[in-house]
Amino acid sequence: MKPQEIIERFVDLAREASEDRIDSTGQAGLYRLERALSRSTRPSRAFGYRVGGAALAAALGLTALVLVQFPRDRALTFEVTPSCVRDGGYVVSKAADGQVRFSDHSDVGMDRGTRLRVSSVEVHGAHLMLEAGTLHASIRPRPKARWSIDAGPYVVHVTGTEFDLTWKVELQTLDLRLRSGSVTVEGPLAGGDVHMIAGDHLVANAGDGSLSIVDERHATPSQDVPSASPKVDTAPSGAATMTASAPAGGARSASAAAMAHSSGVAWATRVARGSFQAVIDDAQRQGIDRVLTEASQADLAALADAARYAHSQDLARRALGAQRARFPGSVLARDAAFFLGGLAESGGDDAGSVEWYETYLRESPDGAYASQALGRKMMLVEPIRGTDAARTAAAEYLRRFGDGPYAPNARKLLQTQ
Amino acid sequence: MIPFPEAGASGLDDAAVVRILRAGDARAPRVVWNRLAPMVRGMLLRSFGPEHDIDDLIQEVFLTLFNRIETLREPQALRAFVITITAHTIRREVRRKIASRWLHLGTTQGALARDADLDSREALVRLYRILDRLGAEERTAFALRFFEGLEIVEIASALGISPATTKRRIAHAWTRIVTHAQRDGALVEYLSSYRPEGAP
Repeated sequence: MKPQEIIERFVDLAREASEDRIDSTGQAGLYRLERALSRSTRPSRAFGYRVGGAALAAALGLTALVLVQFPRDRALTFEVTPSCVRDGGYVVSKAADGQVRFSDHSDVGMDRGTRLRVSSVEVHGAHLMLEAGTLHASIRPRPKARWSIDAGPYVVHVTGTEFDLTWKVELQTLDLRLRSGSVTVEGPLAGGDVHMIAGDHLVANAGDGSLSIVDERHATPSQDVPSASPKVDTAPSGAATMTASAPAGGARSASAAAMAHSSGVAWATRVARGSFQAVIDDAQRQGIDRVLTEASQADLAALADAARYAHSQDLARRALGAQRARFPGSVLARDAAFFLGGLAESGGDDAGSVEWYETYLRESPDGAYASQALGRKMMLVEPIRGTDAARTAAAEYLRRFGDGPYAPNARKLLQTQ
Repeated sequence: MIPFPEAGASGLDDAAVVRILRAGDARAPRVVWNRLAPMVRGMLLRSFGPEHDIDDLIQEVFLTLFNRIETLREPQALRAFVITITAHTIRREVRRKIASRWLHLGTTQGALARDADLDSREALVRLYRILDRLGAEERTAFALRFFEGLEIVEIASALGISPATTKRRIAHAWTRIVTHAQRDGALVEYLSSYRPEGAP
């Protein structure tokens, strides 16, 4: 084979595998950038190298190597802003936006008053203890990642994921809302450990042993598993230890119960496993038109998710449109408005995007995506309807979600004359 | 506030985008992202291949752009400015990878598939492993020349080196890539039978 051909085919392969486009998933990068800029974050590494002499180059090189190596081979490090850290890794969030940032780019945001302890840090993760309050975790997926968070009698085991976790000491209630990835929750739960996937919302009470998991992405409340004969032993100190024995495997979300397809695996489950193209292929084999008119509500949602994640935006729009047309008024149909807004935004249709976000906010004023919908509307509305409209949206955002991710942008907008 | 044309942000020329950036306009991140992120992502993907996480690098490019926009002398040259930032980011990341590999004594890469399993993705992984053997300067110059199709003068300008040095580095990269690829029988066999999409 000629050298020229080797290079040409290498280049062809590389180009085929990397189109110049940003899809709806890539739009998450925009949100991240907006957040970073609103915090005046500077790039972590300086632009370019300005090295004078060989000795200086060697010294800088060695420094760079140490900086490169440190977070990879040594235990993670962390910094706390603007809260304070005390002996034993005890962190108290004095502000509304306290944050623990780890050297592997994982971060844990804390609501005001949240008490958190960084019990230990290792090479591949850390062990945290949520004493009380709410945290918002974004754990970076890495090979061998090992993170755990204690909250009362519960332990949340994490690999790479995003979730909101609340532990209410006085009510002995754990509230875990999983936004992406998967986690396993250990503790006094009916049926043993519970494995959660993205979209699951778990509420467990250590006092009465009750447990409920709702699959918020697929609407149907999947369970409400009461404790099955919880046995409570009260220790002399007043602390309670308990066991509960419900049927194993009882705690699972509706996604797993959805209709099975050609592979025998429900689409929602396959989406949760990341097999987006397989779901699309399955739908195409059955005929897209037929699927859109006959599939169950959960399958339509799974198909829309798969299409969005696999960058098939047109199919995602059709599936979401079918969801709204066939199941009007349902949670999934209302959520579809939010996703349609995102698709319009990534397609450059700002006006259409704002309309969809407004539709979502009108239909689900307290919905799971209300904060994001209002935040995105605020960011988009100015060039379409002018500064006053943007300021109105900003004021509303701050009133409703004063600690939300778009709060800095909202404040900036309100300060702009 | 700089008025948007009726057509929306897509109707802005680069100079207007730079004015929005310099004014600290709240719309700037989205306008710049929608306009330039596809190109930046594509450059980084092609430079590092399918095994490399590029999300942080994209963020780094854009944060650098926002921090250094005041140093751009010709607002119409925004795209070239971003290409330069991306080229520096690529070179720095290659250096970081080399340093990391050196400290890990070459143990960071996963096992390659057996020859019989070779498909387009595996072929690509093998080719990028060959790229990993190049130095930062050679690899960056090669990527800009062949993946991005930049001219020698543009590459030299982006990397701050002379055109003659640029040519030498590209030639050196070419020779090393071909030499290593030819030693991999399965890879050569795959490339021999490979036809890009749309080819007759």
